[in-house]
Amino acid sequence: MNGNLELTTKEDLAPGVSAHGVLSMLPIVVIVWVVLIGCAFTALLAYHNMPGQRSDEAMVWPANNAIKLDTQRANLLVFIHPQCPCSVATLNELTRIQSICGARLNTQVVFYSPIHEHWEDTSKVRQALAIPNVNITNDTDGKLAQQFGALTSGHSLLYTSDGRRVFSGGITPARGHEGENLGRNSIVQYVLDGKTSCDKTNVFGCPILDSPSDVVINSRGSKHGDE
Amino acid sequence: MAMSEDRPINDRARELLEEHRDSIFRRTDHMFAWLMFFQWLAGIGIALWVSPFSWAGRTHYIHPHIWSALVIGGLICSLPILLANYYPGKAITRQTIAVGQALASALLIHLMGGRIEAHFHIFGSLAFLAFYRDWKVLTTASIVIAVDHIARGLLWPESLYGISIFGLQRSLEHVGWVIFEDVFLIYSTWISCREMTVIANRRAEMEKMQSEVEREVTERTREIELQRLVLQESHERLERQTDELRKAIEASEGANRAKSSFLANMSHEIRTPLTAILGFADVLLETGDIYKAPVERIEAIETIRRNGSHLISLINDLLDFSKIEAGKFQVENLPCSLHRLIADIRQLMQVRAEEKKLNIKVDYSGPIPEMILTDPTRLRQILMNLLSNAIKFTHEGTVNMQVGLVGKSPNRRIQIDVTDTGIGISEEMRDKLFQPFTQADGSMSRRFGGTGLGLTISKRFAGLLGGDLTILDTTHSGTTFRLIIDPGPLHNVSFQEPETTPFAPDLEKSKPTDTKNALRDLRILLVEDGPDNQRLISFLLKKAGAEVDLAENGELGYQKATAASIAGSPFDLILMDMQMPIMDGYTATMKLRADGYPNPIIALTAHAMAEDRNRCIEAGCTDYSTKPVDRAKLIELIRFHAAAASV
Repeated sequence: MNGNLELTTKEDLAPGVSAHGVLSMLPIVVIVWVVLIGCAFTALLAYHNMPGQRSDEAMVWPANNAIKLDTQRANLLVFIHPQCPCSVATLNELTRIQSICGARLNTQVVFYSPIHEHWEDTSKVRQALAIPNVNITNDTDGKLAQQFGALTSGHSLLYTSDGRRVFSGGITPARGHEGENLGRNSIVQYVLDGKTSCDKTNVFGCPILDSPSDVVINSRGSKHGDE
Repeated sequence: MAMSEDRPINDRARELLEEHRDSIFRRTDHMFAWLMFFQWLAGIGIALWVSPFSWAGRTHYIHPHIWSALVIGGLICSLPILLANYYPGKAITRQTIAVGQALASALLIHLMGGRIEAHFHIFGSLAFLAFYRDWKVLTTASIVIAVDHIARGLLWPESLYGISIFGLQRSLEHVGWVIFEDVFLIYSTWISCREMTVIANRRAEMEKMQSEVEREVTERTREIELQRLVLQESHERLERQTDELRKAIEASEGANRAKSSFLANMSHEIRTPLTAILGFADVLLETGDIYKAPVERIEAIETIRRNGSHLISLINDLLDFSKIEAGKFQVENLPCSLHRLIADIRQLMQVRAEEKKLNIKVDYSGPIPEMILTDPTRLRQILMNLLSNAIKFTHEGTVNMQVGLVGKSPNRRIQIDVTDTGIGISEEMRDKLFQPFTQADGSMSRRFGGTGLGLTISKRFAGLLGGDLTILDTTHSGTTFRLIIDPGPLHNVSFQEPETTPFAPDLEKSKPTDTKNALRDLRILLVEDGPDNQRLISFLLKKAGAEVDLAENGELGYQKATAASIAGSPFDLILMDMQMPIMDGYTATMKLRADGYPNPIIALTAHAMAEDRNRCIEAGCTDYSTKPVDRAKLIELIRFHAAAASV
């Protein structure tokens, strides 16, 4: 970039290496370069599609003092780490869900709130507060997340009005990516039609807890319900 | 390689096109190097701003996005930047840049979560790649974009479009748009290349013309240089010749000056002894009872006088001639009466004419101006010379002067024809007549006398008087000389038509001045260095009744005159020789006049030129007399000025 156009490689080459030799090796260098970029891309894509940890044990609404089950509507819980950059996509997707479902859904966004940290006013919290018909709950030290088995930011759980879990997973197609995805479609479909085409999707986001206990990693795909 | 005359234009045009394209490739390579570097920095910046950290509960660490921006972005731009620096202009460099830029678009789209706005980077990149004006670069970039779109559209459509469905269809649509843009970009590239080709052809033609012009200019310059050298050589030769000529002129002028100086000095030195010779010859003829002396003695004294007079006229002519030759002769412009002048000359020459029983006639062919503006001394000299020659060469008959005014105003001239009935001039001598020291033949001088300078001087004088002297006609029965002079301005001048020539008083025939007691009771100081002249002049003055005191040089003369004035008996008149040792007459006169000496001082000098007279008057002399002294004239001059001073 700051090289003199008149300079050739001769001055910069190692002794004994001719410019012609370097030129003849260039196609190989280019191929290696393309392969390296390909590998890096693959690794990046792999990371983006690598689902987070999860626990699917809470098949029914667990007893807790923080969030009450709404027995009139379907209940959607979205667990968010307030510092997770990938969860912006989750909240955007939640906005889309809310725009369709509106008041027919009791939506709770549960923010991880560790003691001694003041994370009540992050950009994600402000973003969540802007979504209509959404309640914000602070999850002190991630106890609720532990109870519900939501170990990764963006993990969304859909419970029926009688407390059965009908959906568990992410509502983004990949890490930090928005767009049409099975999680969002399943929730909307249940709220609108009362049935789901899919009851489990991968969750993409940061781990909510420092060291989650008794986690079950289900890293591939989704499990369709039997209904 | 620059255009030469014998090189085909197409070769040079191709070369110029390649040079142009190479400069475009190099320039664009460097632009892309910078662009990709800044894209990389921007990617890192965006990653730092959007997702600086990844979290696990309360623990945070660097977000993989930053590493991916750093590593993948760095990988993408590294090789293009290196190649742009080390192999600018090479095909592989721009192809690598095309691949790199397409991959940068892919990474950006992915990191932006497949947002449709990010896809504009592809179109921007293609437009930027069009700077190369190389369709192959656009094709490479488009292939990479198409492969990336189709592959990811199939495998991970979310990373491209943010959604997991219709990946392949959308990829195909996107590729279609890319091809759509490529069509226009490749077309504009083709147009641009064609224009570059035209420009290269024109430049090649211009270079060819320029080389032809330069060759022409070089040839012309060489010719001019050669001409300049020739001119310079000529100039130098001319300068040398001019220098030589100048030296020759200076030498000639020097020689001329030396000659003039020599002549002037010699004439002075000769006049001084001649004064004594002629003066004492007169004394011998007038002292005692000369009629009792033997005839042989009287004839001898007459011979001495005649030869002395001839010598004086020869010296006068030589002096005039040398002055004219040196270009130092100046004529005066004084008003004079032509009638009177001609009458005087006629009377003067009539004496000599009567000795040969000839008659001088003067005829006027019409009215002539009463007064004309000329140098009367020189006019008199010319006419006397012509009449003298006419009398000399005429044995019987008449000498006729025809005077008239010719021409039309303002170019009117006085024309005087002098016709004799003499022996005439041969045809071969006519051309030589006005050359110095030339007479009809060598015996002329012996037979008729004369210096051989008269006509030469007269012709030159005529020229100086604004006219000419020519031979009008010559036969065996006579010759006519024609003198033409400029009479000066004639308006407000009255004309007269003389019926008879008025006679001037006949000086020769008039009773000579009685010099016996002409200078009685006058005290005269004679300042003269020559002992002979002292004796002669003091003898003449004492004989005329004057009391004479002598001084040998200007200093003694000054002292004596001053002492006499202080004593209360100043000299009535001083005769001052102008060329003397110790102090000359000019200095002595100026000192006397500066002291307030009032009485007349008459200059005596052997230098008989008009300017010598002027110099004497300027020094303070009252009047002027030339050597050898004319006794009667000198005494008359002294008497006149003494009388004027006493009044």
